[in-house]
Amino acid sequence: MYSFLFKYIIIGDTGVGKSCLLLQFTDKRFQPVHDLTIGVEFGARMVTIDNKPIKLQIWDTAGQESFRSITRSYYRGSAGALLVYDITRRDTFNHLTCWLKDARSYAHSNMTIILIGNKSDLEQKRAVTYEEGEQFAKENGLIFLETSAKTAFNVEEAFLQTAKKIYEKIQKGDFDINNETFGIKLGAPQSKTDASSSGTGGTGDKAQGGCCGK
Amino acid sequence: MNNWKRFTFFDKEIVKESVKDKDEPSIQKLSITCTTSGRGRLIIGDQEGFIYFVDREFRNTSFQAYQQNVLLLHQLKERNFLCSVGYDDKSYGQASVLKVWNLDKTDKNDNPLCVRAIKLEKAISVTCIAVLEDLSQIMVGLSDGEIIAIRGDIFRDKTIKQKSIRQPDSPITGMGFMNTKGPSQTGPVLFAVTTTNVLTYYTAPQFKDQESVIDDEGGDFGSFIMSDDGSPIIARTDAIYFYNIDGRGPCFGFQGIKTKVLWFRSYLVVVGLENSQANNALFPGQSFGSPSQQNQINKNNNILNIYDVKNKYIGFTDKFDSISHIASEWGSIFLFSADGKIYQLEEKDTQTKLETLFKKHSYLVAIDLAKSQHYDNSSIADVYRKYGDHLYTKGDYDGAITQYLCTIGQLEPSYVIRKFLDAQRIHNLTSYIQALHEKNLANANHTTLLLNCYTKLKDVKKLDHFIKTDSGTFDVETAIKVCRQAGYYEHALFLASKNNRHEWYLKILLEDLSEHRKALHYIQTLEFEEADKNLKKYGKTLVSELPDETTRVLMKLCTDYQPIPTNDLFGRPMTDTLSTVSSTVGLGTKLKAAPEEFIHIFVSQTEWLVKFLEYMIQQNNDSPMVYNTMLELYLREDQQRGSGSDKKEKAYEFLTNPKAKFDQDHAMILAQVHNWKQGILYLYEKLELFNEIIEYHMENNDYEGLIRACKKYGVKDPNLWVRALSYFSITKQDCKNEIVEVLANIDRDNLIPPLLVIQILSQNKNTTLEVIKEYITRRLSQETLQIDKDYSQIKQFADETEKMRNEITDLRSNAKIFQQSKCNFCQSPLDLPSIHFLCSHSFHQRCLSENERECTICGPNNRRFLEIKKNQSDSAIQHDQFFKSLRTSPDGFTTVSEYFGKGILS
Ligand SMILES: Nc1nc2c(ncn2[C@@H]2O[C@H](COP(=O)(O)OP(=O)(O)O)[C@@H](O)[C@H]2O)c(=O)[nH]1
Ligand SMILES: [Mg+2]
Repeated sequence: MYSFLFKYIIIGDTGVGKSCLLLQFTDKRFQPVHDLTIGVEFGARMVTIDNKPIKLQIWDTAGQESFRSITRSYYRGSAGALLVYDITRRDTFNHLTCWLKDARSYAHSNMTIILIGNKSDLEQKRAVTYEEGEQFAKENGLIFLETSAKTAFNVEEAFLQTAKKIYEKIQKGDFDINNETFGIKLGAPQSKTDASSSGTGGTGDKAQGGCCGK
Repeated sequence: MNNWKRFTFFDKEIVKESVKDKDEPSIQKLSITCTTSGRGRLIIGDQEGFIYFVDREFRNTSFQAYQQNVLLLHQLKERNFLCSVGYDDKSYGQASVLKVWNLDKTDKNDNPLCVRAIKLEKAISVTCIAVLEDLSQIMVGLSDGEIIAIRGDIFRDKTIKQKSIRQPDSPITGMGFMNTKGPSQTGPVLFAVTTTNVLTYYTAPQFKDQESVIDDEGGDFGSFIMSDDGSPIIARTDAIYFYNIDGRGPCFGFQGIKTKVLWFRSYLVVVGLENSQANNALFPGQSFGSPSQQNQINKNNNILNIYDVKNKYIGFTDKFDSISHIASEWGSIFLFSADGKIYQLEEKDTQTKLETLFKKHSYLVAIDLAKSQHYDNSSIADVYRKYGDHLYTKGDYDGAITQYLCTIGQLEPSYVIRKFLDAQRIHNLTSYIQALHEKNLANANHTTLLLNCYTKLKDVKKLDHFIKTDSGTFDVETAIKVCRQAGYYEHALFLASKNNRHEWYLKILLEDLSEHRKALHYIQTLEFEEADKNLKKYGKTLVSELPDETTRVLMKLCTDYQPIPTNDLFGRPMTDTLSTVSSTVGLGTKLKAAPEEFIHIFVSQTEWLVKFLEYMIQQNNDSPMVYNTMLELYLREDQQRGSGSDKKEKAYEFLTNPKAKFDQDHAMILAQVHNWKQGILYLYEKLELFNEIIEYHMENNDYEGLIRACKKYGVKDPNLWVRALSYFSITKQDCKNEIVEVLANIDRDNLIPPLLVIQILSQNKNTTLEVIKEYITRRLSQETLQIDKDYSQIKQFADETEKMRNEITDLRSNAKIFQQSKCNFCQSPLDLPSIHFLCSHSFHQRCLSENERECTICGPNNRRFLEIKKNQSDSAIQHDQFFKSLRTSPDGFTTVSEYFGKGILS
């Protein structure tokens, strides 16, 4: 079991390698011919932060405009976001502002966002410099990494750094753990109290019964 | 917009009812209100309150379950029970009745047995029900948003409470119990969809129907279905959403209004509207209008899609006229259209599907399909092969090899290898063969090929990795050979050392790297047998390169060998050597090699061989070969030092060393070959070959030596003198002095009769009488003296005999007068009774013991004579003894006469 469950969302233009990043992280493989994501896909993996088992539950979204509304509904309840662009396609970098705006307006304000310049293996086709990416991240208060879903370069780090940041925020007491809209859940032992307090229709005596149960 | 592949994995047919009986109602003519299925039957409820059971041949049976219409049907999966909701009362607006039917039992009218009928307290129309398999909970959803929980033992409890767990709110559109089996112990969780949100209820008693809103979007009537594994699905206009207990899971963005969903096997069947007007997807998440609106739209074409959500393809898609109900049974999906038509969609068999997939090059789907259908490994591998072949022909070698990797263990590796050899795709080939090794399926050829790939690619890192981390998945010998050939000696060495192929290790060190010192060191770390073997094999090279060190190692090997502990220089485990060392120590036996087996390796290194052998001799080795060789070396050494000094001191010293254990015959040959007089003589002497010694002197005409030899050995073999005599007698030279000396010796020991001496000497004309005059005179006078002596002795014996004879006659013929006055025993005067013996001794009777019949004085003496006599006659009979003494006696005649004396013929 896990101590915490963090929900992530991966966003960015279509074709930047979001699904590949997820697959590389969860399955440790690269599948070059990948179906276009239709809607939202899902992956999960256990990691360890500060010696605690943490489950990462990751939403991989479709980048296309037509799915934007579906995607938006997943922002809520995400603790972390991976905002991905393709270093070989400048347009994907240019769209970052739009994505960031979306994220800021649909997610809770304390969502941890990491900017990822993917396909770093295609150095010869690079269209966005590392410095540009870094600069954008800095301006917007994001973590920044260049990765390659193909070679797995920095993939692990991207997910882990985000998790660390979220964990730090929890330690600082930035979140109400019991509020699921933050995309963080406590592990099984606390599930009862967790469920009782989040139950909207729950009346006082019911909640008490739940607590005293075991 | 969506890029899911489309296939036609279903055959569509219009169902023809087999109606035998005119009375039997036709399904097509019914006004169907609801359907369910299970246990080999489709179950249909209608407006008239009848429930129909349809079998596979599409014959039906029916019974009236309600007075009015049937609203809902739910067939349990595990038990043959049916739950239904309908109206019994005629008056509209009355409460509906929940009935539970045991389909295995019949009542008196031959209808299914109604186990329980519960009239709902609220007269509000029921929209859906959810039933736990054990019937302990039945949840009823109402159009006013209430959820009524009916709990209890429906078979026994007299009254069953109806509890509202949700107050009126937005209408309930779908409900189901989630699959909550597993470790979470949440008990049954009810998943409820309303028009505005999604809720869960923890229905286990300890949770007291605790409610959670897990999504702020709801779903419309017909949009909810529970998959077979108990995960809820809501088909909304913008997408199809999957849920779990915590809320939304993944979703698939298939847009459009959906009217009905059904879970079939692993497919999600979705009936939607083909709509230009469905562009209300512009307002996603909004519910689409009232039921009346829906009906209107239903008049338009319906579109049916069958999704395989796991493999992400569309298994079937077609248009239908308004589908009003949908159900599945017998591996088919049944569609009931509003105009009474019934369609059957039958899934194609897997093989056909696979073929379709191959044709469309959808290999990934094919692989998933084959796996999900539990195809055997070889069939699945075959799909991978097809995929690989496809990618290969497209020139995607990287992709192809990935597929071929999945065929390992099934597909013959040569199939793949040949392809990539042809294409010169060495990287791909490498990864494939590498995988073969990882799976332990590689043979020696594969290893060779892989290593060749590595070496050709100059991929030292991979080579390192392969060689250093591999745990016995390849043929070591081959690997060593290939590495060696390619000049990767380090790797070859590593392998050899790791796998204890010492011979290879040394071969590479010596033949390829000329690392003699290292090799020698390595040998010393080996166990005795290996060290012994390898020193024999490589000793020659080592001795010629490192004579000093090698000799020292050999010395150790041949005396008391113990491997030196490895300093892990070669990566071999220390413990190995240590343990064996201790074990040999424990046994207490010293391991040593036979030094003679190493002599040959010192060819042309005599100097070191001498050192080696000297050491061995010093160590008291007892192999004759060592001593033989040593001797030979000494002799040779002396020879080399120059023939001037013919001393051969060392050799002689060695030869005469009592500790030396050489083979004397061998030594003899050596001495002879080297014409080493001193040695030869010493050996002759040692072997007591006195004849040879004098012969040697004779051959060398060394008179002095000859005489000396005769003097020395004459004691042991007097015949030497005789030989010397005959030698001197025939030599032409004048050797008077020698002959005299010889004769003196012959004479002293009386070796041969004078006559023979004369005979021998007469052979040489040079010999003058003068030489033997003295001898002959001496002999003759001696002889005369002897004869005289004999004569006097004869006379003496004859006299004695005469005397005895007279005595005997006297005893026999004359009386004997006993004149003794004293007892010969006690010396006191004799008195009666007394006993007198013929030997003139007399005794008191009392002085003799009772049975004494002999004279106590003469008796013992006489008895001795008798004994001798008896012995003599006895031994005379023993002929063996006779011949034996005859043979050994120096004078046969004496022996013969002696035996005559003993009475050999008497
Ligand atoms: N060279 C390279 N190609 C990548 C990388 N990540 C993804 N791709 C390719 O980019 C394409 C789009 O990837 P995908 O994950 O489907 O993008 P998504 O639409 O963001 O999910 C695919 O053809 C991938 O093979 C990468 O790190 N390096
Ligand atoms: Mg994608």
